[in-house]
Amino acid sequence: MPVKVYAMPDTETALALKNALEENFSDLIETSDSIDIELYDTFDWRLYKKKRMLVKCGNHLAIVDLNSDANLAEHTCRGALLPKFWWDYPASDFREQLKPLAHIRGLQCVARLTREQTVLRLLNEDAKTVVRVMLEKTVVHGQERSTDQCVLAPVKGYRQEAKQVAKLLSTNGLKQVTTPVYIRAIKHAGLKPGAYSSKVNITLTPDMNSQDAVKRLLAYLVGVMRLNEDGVRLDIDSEFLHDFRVAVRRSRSLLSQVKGVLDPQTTAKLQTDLRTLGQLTGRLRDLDVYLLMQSHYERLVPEPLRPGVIRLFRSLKAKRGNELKKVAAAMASDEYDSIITFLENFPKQNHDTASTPVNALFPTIEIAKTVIFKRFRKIIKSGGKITTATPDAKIHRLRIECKKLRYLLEFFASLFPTEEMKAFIKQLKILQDNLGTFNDLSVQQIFLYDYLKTMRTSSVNSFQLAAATGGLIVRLNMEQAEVRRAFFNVFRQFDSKDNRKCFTKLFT
Amino acid sequence: MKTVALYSIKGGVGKTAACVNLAFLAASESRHTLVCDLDPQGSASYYFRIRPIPKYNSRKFLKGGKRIDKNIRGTDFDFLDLLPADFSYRNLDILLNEFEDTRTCLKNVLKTLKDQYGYVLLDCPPNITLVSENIFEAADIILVPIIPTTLSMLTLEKLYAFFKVSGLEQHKIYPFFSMVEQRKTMHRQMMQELMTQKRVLKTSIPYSADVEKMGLFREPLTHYRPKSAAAQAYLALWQEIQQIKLQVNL
Repeated sequence: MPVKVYAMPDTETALALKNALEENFSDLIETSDSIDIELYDTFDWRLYKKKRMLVKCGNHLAIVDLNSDANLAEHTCRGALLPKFWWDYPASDFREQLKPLAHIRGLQCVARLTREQTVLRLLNEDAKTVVRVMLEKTVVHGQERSTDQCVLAPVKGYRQEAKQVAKLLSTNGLKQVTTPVYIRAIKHAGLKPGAYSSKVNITLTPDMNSQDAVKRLLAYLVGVMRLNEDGVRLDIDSEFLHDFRVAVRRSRSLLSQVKGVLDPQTTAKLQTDLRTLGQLTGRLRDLDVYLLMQSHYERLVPEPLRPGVIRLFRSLKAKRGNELKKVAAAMASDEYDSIITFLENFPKQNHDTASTPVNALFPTIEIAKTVIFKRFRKIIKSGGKITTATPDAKIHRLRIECKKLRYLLEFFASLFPTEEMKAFIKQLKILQDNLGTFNDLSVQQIFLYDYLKTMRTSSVNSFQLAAATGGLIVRLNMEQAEVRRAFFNVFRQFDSKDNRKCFTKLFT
Repeated sequence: MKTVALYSIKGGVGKTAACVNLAFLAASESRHTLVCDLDPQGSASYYFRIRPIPKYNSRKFLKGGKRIDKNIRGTDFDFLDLLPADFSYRNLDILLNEFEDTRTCLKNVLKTLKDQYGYVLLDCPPNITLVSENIFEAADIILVPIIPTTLSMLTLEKLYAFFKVSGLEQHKIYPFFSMVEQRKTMHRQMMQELMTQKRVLKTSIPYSADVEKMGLFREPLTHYRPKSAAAQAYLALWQEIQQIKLQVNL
């Protein structure tokens, strides 16, 4: 018989249960203890979303399956601190299981709990333990209310006795539960596991006016920026800055594409502010992107050039450290504070209806259809013109067009049929992946060229470094040519009859 | 799964006490451990307060598999289970003759438990019979407690001789001194003498009233008085056994 877990409705029931157990068994021995538990997940709840959680008791860590409450992999930490990234753990099954769950995100403590446990050992006439019953009270730190449960742990070979206890539990009105107690406890405490997502998750209605729709979207996007600020400052992982910047870019894209909805002065002010936020963080993000490429770059060059690549990354890491300090200082400045406060407060204000811009009161669905269709046509037109002789710059421009379309589809997804939108976004994504890779490869080459130019040529090390950098440029250039060749096929599929038909049906 | 037998031709040398305490120590390292009580007297079962099971007998034991699993009992300690002895085990010898694998029957029975347990400790009956031969085949390590007296030495000699004649692996035998009374000159002399002749484990278990009291407490000494001299000796012995385990690459 496996371990069974029951929710404990109240203290009276617990007392009644204890009396019943005492009456039914020769003896009962009671011991108590208390343990502190810490739950870890990434900021965007990646483990929780895959029905997993990282649970820490003392220095013992376990990846727990939330369906069965079973430990899937375990690790013992050396010190009190928990290594932040999967690659910080020694090679093991634990690390392998953590890798796809957390990916590039850092682990953070999402909740601290204390569990007070009373163990009741039920004895037979030989004073042998035949069943264990645990009464547990779990409290999230800083909260008063506890989540109570009762665990029935049978002893192997004493099935009848366990059955007897199971019966007593159900006659006392206890019901079995499957969700692990700490998840129930954090939900009771008001935490919303799985709530954060960097995706645009806004429900609009077709006939709401466009100004309200844009304001709601902006309010949401600024909310995302706010949520990621601390993670950037504390340098938890590179995704905080990424999500922050995506929210800035989305906001800018929204304002530039959905025109005539806000008054021109406000739009101009918002755009300037958002551009400032983008510029402030751009350099740090670039360095983050390169640093994430380290192991890939090491594999690109042959063994003798590898020390040069490692040296290159060492210098990038140092640069990033300085850049982070600059960003953190900027985010603590009055200028930043006034920008973000304006962005935050603006959507809440009621704007003067006398000077209402032309499109402000238009139904959202109409505006959405118009701007989306316009963008799509533009992509089809300029994409069709691309040949093997087209300069790279034009391909980059197409990439930006596609990104704009993608943002629009995300903003207004709630207004259109889900399945069709999904299918269309999937098509667009394939094209975007091709163009994105092409762009990344050219940006990286430019970066490496610039790096070569600034390099001092006095030491032996710099020759090694220059050779490695040169080697990387060659490899990246070859890869880029490959991606460019693939473009034509990818675009032909995007520009297919079916796709066009589906698009026209949705947005006209 | 590692199988460790506590074996001696002589009775009353501290086999069961060692078995119970070593098993507790193994389990306290979070390794699933099974004590297999092979002695029809059922002393190991008694120490863990586990009664003989009605309808369970030596035939079911030798058939193995589910019939065994059904009769394994959890002890009061995490990771530690016990398969209680039955009085019918006194005729285990006769029954073994009925089976094809007369000498390796026990080994085959234990194989079925390999996914469930990290350690199996065998508490053996004091004699040298077909059951013992099965034990010698099944065990990875055979721990032989010896009281440092002339007679004990003689029986140890007999054991080595038997292994030689039967073509069994002598290197599995690990004698250790048990119920040692350091104040007795004879004990000291005998220990010195044997250590020059044979490979004997360094740790010896002292004679102790605490060990005798295990019958009253019905719990491993290593659990209820872990700081006592005898409990500390068992701990040292367990650590030494784990060292050998590494050497012989088990």
